[in-house]
Parts: sequence; C-alpha cells; structure tokens
Amino acid sequence: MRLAVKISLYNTFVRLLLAAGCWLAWPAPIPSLWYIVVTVTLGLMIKVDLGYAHFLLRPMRILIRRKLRIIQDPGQFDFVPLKTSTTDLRQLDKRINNLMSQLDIRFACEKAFTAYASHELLTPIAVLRNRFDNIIADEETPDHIAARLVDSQQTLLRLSRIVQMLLCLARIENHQYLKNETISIRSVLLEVLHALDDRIAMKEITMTLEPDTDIVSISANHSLLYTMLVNLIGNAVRYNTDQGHVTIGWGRFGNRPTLTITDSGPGMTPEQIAMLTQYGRPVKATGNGIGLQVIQTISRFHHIGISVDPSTTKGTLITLKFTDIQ
Amino acid sequence: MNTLIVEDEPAMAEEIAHFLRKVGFVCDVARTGKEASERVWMNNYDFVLIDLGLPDYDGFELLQETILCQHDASYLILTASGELGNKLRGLNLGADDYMTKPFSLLELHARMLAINRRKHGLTEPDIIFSGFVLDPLARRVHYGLREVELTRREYDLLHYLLLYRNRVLTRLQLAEHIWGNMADDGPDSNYIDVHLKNLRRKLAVYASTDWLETVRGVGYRANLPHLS
Repeated sequence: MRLAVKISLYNTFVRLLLAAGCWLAWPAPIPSLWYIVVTVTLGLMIKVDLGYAHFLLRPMRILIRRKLRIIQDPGQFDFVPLKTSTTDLRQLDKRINNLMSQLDIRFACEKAFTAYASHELLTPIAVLRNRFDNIIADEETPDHIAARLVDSQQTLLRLSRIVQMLLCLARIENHQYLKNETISIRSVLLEVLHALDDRIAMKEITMTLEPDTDIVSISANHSLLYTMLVNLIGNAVRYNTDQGHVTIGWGRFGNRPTLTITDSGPGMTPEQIAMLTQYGRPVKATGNGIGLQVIQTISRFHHIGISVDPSTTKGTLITLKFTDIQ
Repeated sequence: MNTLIVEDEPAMAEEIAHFLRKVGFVCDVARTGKEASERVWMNNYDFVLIDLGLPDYDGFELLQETILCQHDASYLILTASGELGNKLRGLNLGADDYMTKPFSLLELHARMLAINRRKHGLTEPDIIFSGFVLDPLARRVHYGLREVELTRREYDLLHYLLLYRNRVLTRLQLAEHIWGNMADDGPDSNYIDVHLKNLRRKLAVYASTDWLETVRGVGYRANLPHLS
C-alpha cells in the first residue's frame, strides 16, 4: 500500500477514535443531522490528508522513478540533487548519491582493471602465438621441431581461451555489455545451427528444432545470447554419441516461456549441473567448468533461469526460462 | 604495399613485420603514438595497423589524426580489448577492420588482402590448380565442365590452402579460419582431418590429389606452382 494512503488512513483512524470518544461522552442523544455532518467532515479530511501526504512524498516518488527504478549500472545514475524542502528526503537523496558515487568508482576501477588485465595477459600470448606461426612457417624449421611447436601452440590456445573466458565473466559481472536489443531466440538458434552444421553432420546427429514457435527477448545482448546458446548446443553435440539426437523445444513454466535442449549424450555430473545452475561457485578453469560458468553468468545477466532435469539418467534436459520477453 | 605497424610491444611488432615482409609488404614500425604521428606526416602508407593500447597516445586519437593525414590508406585496429564498444568506435572513426589479440598472422594477411580488394573494387580472380578451377565469387570448384560438390567448410579449407600454397598450415590455423573462436582447443579434435579426408576423396574422383600433402604432426600443405 502506498505510504501516502497509509498516512491518511492512520489520520482518519485517529479522528474516528476521537469522534467515538466524544459521542460516548455526549450526555444527550445526538441528532441524526450530526451523523451526516461528521461523515462528510471525515470524508473531506481523508481527501485533504491524502492530497497533502501525496504532495509531501512527491520527491520520494521522483527519487524512485528518476533515480532508482531504471538503474542497471551506477554510470547511468542521475546525480542531480533532488529538489525538496523536506530535510529528511534531502538527506536520503544525498546518502543515495554518495553510495552510488562510491559504486560508480568501484565499477570504473574494475573496468580499468579488466582492460589492463586484457592487455597485459593477451599481448604476451599474442607474441608467442605469432612467433610460433613464423617459426613453423620457416622452411628451415625441421618437421619434428615444427610438430612440437604445434603442440605448444595448442597449449597456448587453451591458455588464451581460459583468459578470454575469465575476462568475459569479469565484463559481464561488471555490466560492460549493453543490453538494449530485442532478439528473436529462434533466429539466434538458426545462426547457431548454421555454425555447427558440419559437426552435426559429422556425428550424424539428428537435430530437431521444433517449428512455429519463438521467444522474443527484450533488453538483451545478441552476442552474449549467441555465446550462451552456441555453448549449450555445442556441448550437446560434442559430448553426444554418434548418430545420437538433439531436440530443441518450446514450452511454458507458469507464465514464463521456456526453451528446452534435450540430448542423448552421457548426461551431466552433479558438479557440472551445480556449475551451470548455481551462482557464486568458485570458477574452475578445468574441463568445461569455465564454459558452464560463462553460460550461467550470461543467463543471469538476462534474467533467464536455467535448470537441468535431474531425473534424466541418460542424456541431458536443460530448460531455459525467459523473463524479459515481448 | 607500404605498411606502418604501430605497436608498443617490440616482440609483437617484430613478429608482424617479419611475417608481412616475407609475403612482400614493406614495413615500418612505430613503438609510440608520437613516433607514428611523425611517420604518417613524412611517408605514404597503404596500410596502418594500430594497437589501441599505446603508452603515450590514445589509440582512437591517433586513428583520427592519421586518417586526416592519410585518408587513402587502409586502417586495421589490433587490440587486446574484446569490448564491442571499442570495436564500434574504431569502425565508426573510419577503421576498415578490427582484430582482437591473439590473432593468426595468416588471418591478418587475408584480411588485409580483402580490404585492399574492397577498397579498389577488385574481385578475386579464379584460381586454377591441378586441372581444377576455383571461382571465389561463386564459391564453386569445377573440373572441366563438371562441378565438384563441396560443402561450405570444405570449400573454405581448400580456398585457404590454395591462398597459402606451399606453406604448411597447422590444424589450428585452418580451424580458426573456418570456425573462428569456435575452433576446438582439444588435442583429440579431428574435425579438420575429417574435412580434409572428405575433400581429398571428392577431388580424387576427377584428378590426383598428391599435391595436397599431410605434414605429420603439423598440418597440411598445398604443393602447387606459385600464383602468377
């Protein structure tokens, strides 16, 4: 219930109590005209109270609407002081401004750190990568040395992927990705299936995308949603058996539309499921742990719930529950 | 083609310059923004490769300044920052392309050639090899009048091998070319080998594929006469 309504109801209740006290203490019976006068007066009082409380709390509504409701990042915060003659609200506004300013500084520091880490970590990797390229391409490099360098290049690629995924996680957590696109999930799925077509064909996997349905996600980031779906479906293909199947279906969970990905692979371990569905677990840069963390972080960034059906003994059933939809 | 490499990391600049010189480019290296700024006022370049993270200059400012000074050159941003905002800003300021470190030098070269063709309205000529004709515009391969049915990936692999003929291409370089960031990093991944096996099988129906050599433990090489 609105604060203004609560204040005016409280005032009315007090006045009713006073009126009841007066009525009980009155020595003679009260004429019926008095009841009408009292009722009309009380009604007027409620209206005046409500109007005044509404007027008093206007700065609070502005504070919520203009400053707090639309904020996804401290950088978007409106630091202009609130215009009000009420000292308490002025102080509240001042404190919120201070708090957001501190948060803004922390976010800026983290952004600077990610940019710095990105440069400092990826530049040496790039140097090594290019040096290996040049040595392998050199006609004078013996084949057995080239073969060992190829192994090293593979290791370097894994290192580079881990660094890039960790930086991606940091950027998402730090809200460095814009979330201002309206995206058809079906069209992203078609892009993903196009990118994976040769891997699907090589393993002779039966891929089924249920027709005639779509989910249009609003306030979304296309490249992140693509990364999430290409990882989920890529895993379903990569860890599947030859001639297995992957089915992408649509459904509902309460009033939320859902996307399901079912495969005939070996299923996920409880640890992998926890990595995919639970926030706050320490990042494990081994196996596909970090990839699962990236999926989980992107889904949380988009308010998409992820669940894995634990009853699936063979294969995996992953359900994505969408919230921000058109 | 004259190329200016603006890169503060000496080893990185050296490797890029070494590679580009080998494929026929003339390269100058500037280690700071100031040095780059001086060079663009003194020399004419066809390509300027700019690292955004310079110690003394804002990379975007340098890009704007060099575009003002040499608007006929092509600009390629090389950076460790994977932020989409930076990419868009660079492209909006007039850069022709944007590559995120670490990248393959072959990929850098391929993009430079593509920019050059785009800028001068050129089309890539047909590639004739071992009796086959690869038409890059139509993305088709013919042997005489008969078309060789290749998948998208097989075509891409063949095209890349022909572009860098007589050079060993590692499985990683081939995988990154066709899948980009989705290239598998597992040592057990054999997608490239399967594609190459299928490619050989399809070409062998028409003519010998002895020119397509497997370099054990390294990758593949197309042993063909150099392009004229």
